[in-house]
Amino acid sequence: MKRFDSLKWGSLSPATFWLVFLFTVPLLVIFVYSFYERGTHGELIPAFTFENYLRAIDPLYAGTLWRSIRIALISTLITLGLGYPVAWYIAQQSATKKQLFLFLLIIPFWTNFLVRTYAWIFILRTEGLMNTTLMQLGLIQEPLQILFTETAVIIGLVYTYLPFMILPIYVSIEKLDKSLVDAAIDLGANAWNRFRKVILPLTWPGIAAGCILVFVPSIGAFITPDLLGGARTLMVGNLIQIQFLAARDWPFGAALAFIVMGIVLLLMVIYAWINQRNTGERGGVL
Amino acid sequence: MPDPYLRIHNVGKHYDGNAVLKGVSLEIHEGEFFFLIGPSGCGKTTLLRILSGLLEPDFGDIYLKGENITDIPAHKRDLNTVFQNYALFPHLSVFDNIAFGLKMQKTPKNEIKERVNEMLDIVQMGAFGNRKIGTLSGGQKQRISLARALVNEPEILLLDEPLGALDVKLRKLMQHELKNLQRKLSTTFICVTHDQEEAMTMADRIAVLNEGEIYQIGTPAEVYNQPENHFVASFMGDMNFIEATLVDTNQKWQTAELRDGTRVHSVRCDDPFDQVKEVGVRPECFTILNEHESVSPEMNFLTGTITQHIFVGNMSYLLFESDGGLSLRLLGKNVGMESKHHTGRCKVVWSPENTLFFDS
Repeated sequence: MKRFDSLKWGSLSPATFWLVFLFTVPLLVIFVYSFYERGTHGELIPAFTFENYLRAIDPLYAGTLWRSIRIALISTLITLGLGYPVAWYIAQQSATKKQLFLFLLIIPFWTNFLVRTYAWIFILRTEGLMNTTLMQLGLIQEPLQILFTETAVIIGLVYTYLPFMILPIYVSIEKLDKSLVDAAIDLGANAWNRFRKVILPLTWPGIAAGCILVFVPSIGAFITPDLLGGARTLMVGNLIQIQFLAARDWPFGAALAFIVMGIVLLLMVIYAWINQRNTGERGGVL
Repeated sequence: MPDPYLRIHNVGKHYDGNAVLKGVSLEIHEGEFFFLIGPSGCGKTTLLRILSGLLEPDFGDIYLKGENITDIPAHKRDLNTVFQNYALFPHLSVFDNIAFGLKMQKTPKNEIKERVNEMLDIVQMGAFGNRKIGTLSGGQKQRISLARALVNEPEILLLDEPLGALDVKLRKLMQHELKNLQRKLSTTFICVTHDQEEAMTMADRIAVLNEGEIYQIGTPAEVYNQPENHFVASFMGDMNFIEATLVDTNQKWQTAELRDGTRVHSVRCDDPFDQVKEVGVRPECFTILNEHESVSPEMNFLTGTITQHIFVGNMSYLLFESDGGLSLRLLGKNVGMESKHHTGRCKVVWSPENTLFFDS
């Protein structure tokens, strides 16, 4: 082997080690477990059965899976709706203001995620900040029951993942050649057509990237639904957590985890396909 | 008197307190190939963007066929632009790029198809309709961006440094194509450039801009042969300037004295000069004679030495130093292998017709 090669492999080895031993191997182990059977006391019995996967489609669990997809989807759409205008606004600012706004977007990450989620409990609960304010303003007569509902989970997820939507969209808007918008105006496009025919298709990679960055962690979320959703709004993340920790049914938990991963993988394929179709000159943001 | 086709009246624009356009007025005729030329930052692109409507002037008005269009938004103006870097939509095919404007006008589908294909043929890109923009070369992109603007049959086509991104050979070729296209369609073209040769080659008339003001408007020949001031003379081509003062005016000549005491004549114009600051002579206007050859009295001349010979292919620059300490650049044609140009002591002679006076 040439010296250059050994240098190359040498510099890659920490990353390779990380990927192989801390990612690929555990993943394979879980994959194998997903075909095992559970013993009466929660022990793992080697087998090759699709029982765990079939159980996941059982209405009892399929409901949770479907709710997870729905909540993740709604959260993604709301973050997109909120995030696109914000990203657009930031991209129009002067260089110093851009830096300030991007900095403000990052600030929430300085506080622990759990603390921030607990803060939402104080805002949303019956005697919380939101309800007392609305009642004092006379907008509502009775406190709104938002905490421990799907709405609370969606609010929590939107709040948490909004920056992940804004940043890639911001990047794609920054990359957008402003003279193309000028050209569209020049060719007679009104504001709506400019957006629909030029800006939207050209910032599509950013939108797709943002949607994946929000949807993927949302569908697997378990802390947010646990704290804000209560017992009735279980998501698949909670279900997996319960299988591994409380129910001690590792094979079923593994199967659920792989189903979620399958959904995510499918989305990535769609993303890659869209990107490839759109590659005239620009690549994806991810 | 009928209204001029396009009238720009006292248009001004400021950026951050800097006046980019200082009240420009201009009239452009129908079917004309008009050039706005000037160094970068002279305001030519700003003026073009104001015409297209992409930029609002701080003051002034624009009239198209007598109608004030200053407040009509860009997307409703009957003008189209060829952008500097083409600004073709990378997500659309060549066909859809050209069809964009027609679609915005809600033109019927079969008519769009007909007109786009016709336009593709005009710019000799007939086979490229389905191609993606990313696969085109610079010259092809240039043609498509022309087609995209012209297919809308605009009253005026605005071109922002249209050939700036092309290499020299292709630029020359496209200059001719563009000129022919303009003649064929007889659409009014207004083109911005900083390249004086490009303007000379293609323009019917040229406006020379500097620091937000128009310095001269005229045909290429007028602007080149009768520049009104130092800036136009030096920007449009090359010029030798020699400090001088006016000493005499008669029916035929005006005479100025150069720094070294030499007197030179210039043809008296209708509006003779009251004072002269500089005398200008183009480098190609000199004849070189032997030192002791006689010169007719009305001709201007200096005696001195040719100090350097700079070969530039078909031409050579000769650097001349007069006995009185004046430096001149002379341009001479090279014919064949042998250079026939003098070196050493000589006399350079030029006529009063080629002697320009400048008072500013």
